[in-house]
Amino acid sequence: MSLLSVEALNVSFRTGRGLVKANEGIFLEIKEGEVLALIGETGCGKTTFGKALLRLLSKNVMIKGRILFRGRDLLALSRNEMRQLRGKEIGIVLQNPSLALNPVLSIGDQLAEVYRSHEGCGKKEAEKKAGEMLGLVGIDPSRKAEYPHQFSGGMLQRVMVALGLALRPALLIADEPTRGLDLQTKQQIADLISGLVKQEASALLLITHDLEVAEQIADRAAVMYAGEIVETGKAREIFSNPGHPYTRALLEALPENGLRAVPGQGPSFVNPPSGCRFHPRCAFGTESCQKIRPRLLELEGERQVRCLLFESTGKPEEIPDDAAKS
Amino acid sequence: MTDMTESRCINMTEKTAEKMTGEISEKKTGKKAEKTAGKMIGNIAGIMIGNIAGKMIGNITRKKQVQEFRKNRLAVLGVLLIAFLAFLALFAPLVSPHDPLEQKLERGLEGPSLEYPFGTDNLGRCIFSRVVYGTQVSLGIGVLVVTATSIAGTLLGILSGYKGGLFDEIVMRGVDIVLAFPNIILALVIAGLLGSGFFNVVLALSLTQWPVYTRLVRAQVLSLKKQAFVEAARALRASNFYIMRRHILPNCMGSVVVLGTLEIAHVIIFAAALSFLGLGIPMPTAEWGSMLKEGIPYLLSAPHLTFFPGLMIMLTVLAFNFAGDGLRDCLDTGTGVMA
Repeated sequence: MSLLSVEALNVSFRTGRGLVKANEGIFLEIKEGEVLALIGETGCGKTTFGKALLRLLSKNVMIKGRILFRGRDLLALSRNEMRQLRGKEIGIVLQNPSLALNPVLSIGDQLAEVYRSHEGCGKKEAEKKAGEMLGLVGIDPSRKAEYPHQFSGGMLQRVMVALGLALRPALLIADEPTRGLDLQTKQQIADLISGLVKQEASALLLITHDLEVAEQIADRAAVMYAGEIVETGKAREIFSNPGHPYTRALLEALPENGLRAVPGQGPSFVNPPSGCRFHPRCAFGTESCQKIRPRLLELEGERQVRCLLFESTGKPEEIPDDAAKS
Repeated sequence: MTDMTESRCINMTEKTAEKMTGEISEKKTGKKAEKTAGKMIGNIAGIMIGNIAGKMIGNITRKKQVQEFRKNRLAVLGVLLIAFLAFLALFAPLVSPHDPLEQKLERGLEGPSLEYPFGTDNLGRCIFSRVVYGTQVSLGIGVLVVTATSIAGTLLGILSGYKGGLFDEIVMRGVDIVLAFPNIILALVIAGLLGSGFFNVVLALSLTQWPVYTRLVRAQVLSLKKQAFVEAARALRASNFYIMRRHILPNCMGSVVVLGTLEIAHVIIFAAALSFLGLGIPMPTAEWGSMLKEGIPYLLSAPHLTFFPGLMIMLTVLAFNFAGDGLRDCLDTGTGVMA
């Protein structure tokens, strides 16, 4: 049985420029103990999706669809019920740890507060647990009296991981946990998160634009473009044999594959392109791509692709490599 | 005639100066122990303030803040002066040589002497004793008003900034209304309606001073509540009340403490002004403002009646301003409100 199942999720924001459709028609499943990587370029709606799961979005948001977590629809819960669930059953590691920690409280205090308010621990016990948790993420517990500004970015990210996992949630959402870190630190954080998640038997939704990290630790991957899921499947297969032209373009943009950037810019969320949203930037686009909105096709081996090229054959038509450059 | 009074006047000030320097030198030689004690009190006060500040703002380590505060000579001087004034207020009966209300009409308007260090007023009361007892009133009003207004103002500011909506509108229009009137006029009206008396003065000043905090705090809350750590707290189940108490309030405290310290000076001047205008502390009680007022008719013939209470007001206000500025520098909150 799946731990989390998102059905036809639409997230939009009412703004002065009109309705911003940040997520559209998202179907996604996460099984118990599974690591799912949600990848896509900056601004494609990944973070919005992660926050929507915890209903942490601003007041002008409209969420439609269903988010089933262990059979309960999160969108139908009262605010109080939702609050009980946050941190305890679904934890989140927010972006940008230097901003996500309160500068006037020591990290030990911030961590201990979680135990005191959730588990009703006494002060001593909460501090002990906070120290253990810090040790678990590789921070010397004797540093718990220090303030966020006294830690480096990588260390703060560890603190964030400790906060997210403090209550052993069944699902951890990690939003860009490796952003802004150097290669070695990135590796350490990625290993830390995947190790801890395995140890606690939690599922992990890894939101990232870092394909290397995603490839390393994810069991499955979902690729998002312009608020839509364009491809899902086993992580290894997606990275070794990308289906959707956007996934291919993402992989080609990696330094080892030639650092070829995807041409053009991400589309508007107020007036998205007609037909396939990727067609203005797609190297394989045909005329029908401008008119027909592709559906998410089910392929063999738990693979889903949203592309017209797969409609007829179930495989993309063979296109010579240089076509991508023109 | 005028010549005579003038020369007498000069004479008098010279005499006073002599007396004062004499006193100081005596203190220097005779009371070294007391001086070191004073220094210690100053240091302790400095460390205490540094500690409180350090707890509230974790940006710099505590030691560093105390060091920074102690490097600021004026701030340390301010704290020392405040400690001295507090000492005077607490031990007024021990420090003052006479009963501040005791009248000796036959010895009115005397200049400073050994018996009456600051001379006597028109009713023959000891000005030194009255000045010392006045410390109680002025500091009392200052501390009471600032405590009450900073607590109430901060709470209102946090609530209206965090909640927003109708509540915010109502509170902020209240703030606008109070701030639309010049402070002193509003305080005069309220004090006039209530009548004079210690608690009426406190009430009148409190009613005029709370909006300063509310506005400062609300502005900070507006930016704080959008911070990522508030969202992070919410992702960990924090309730609104909890976020206000643990995340918003501690982040506002630094500037509230600084503003409060500066406000004490403001309030003390205000209280003196009210008394000077006859709407503050009623007559026989020793209060610096009313002493000034009583001294006005003798400004030229016996300036010590107004000089000493005026000096005390000036010193007190300076002390709190120095300390407040020092706090602001070492906490680096940059409120900018008082500017």
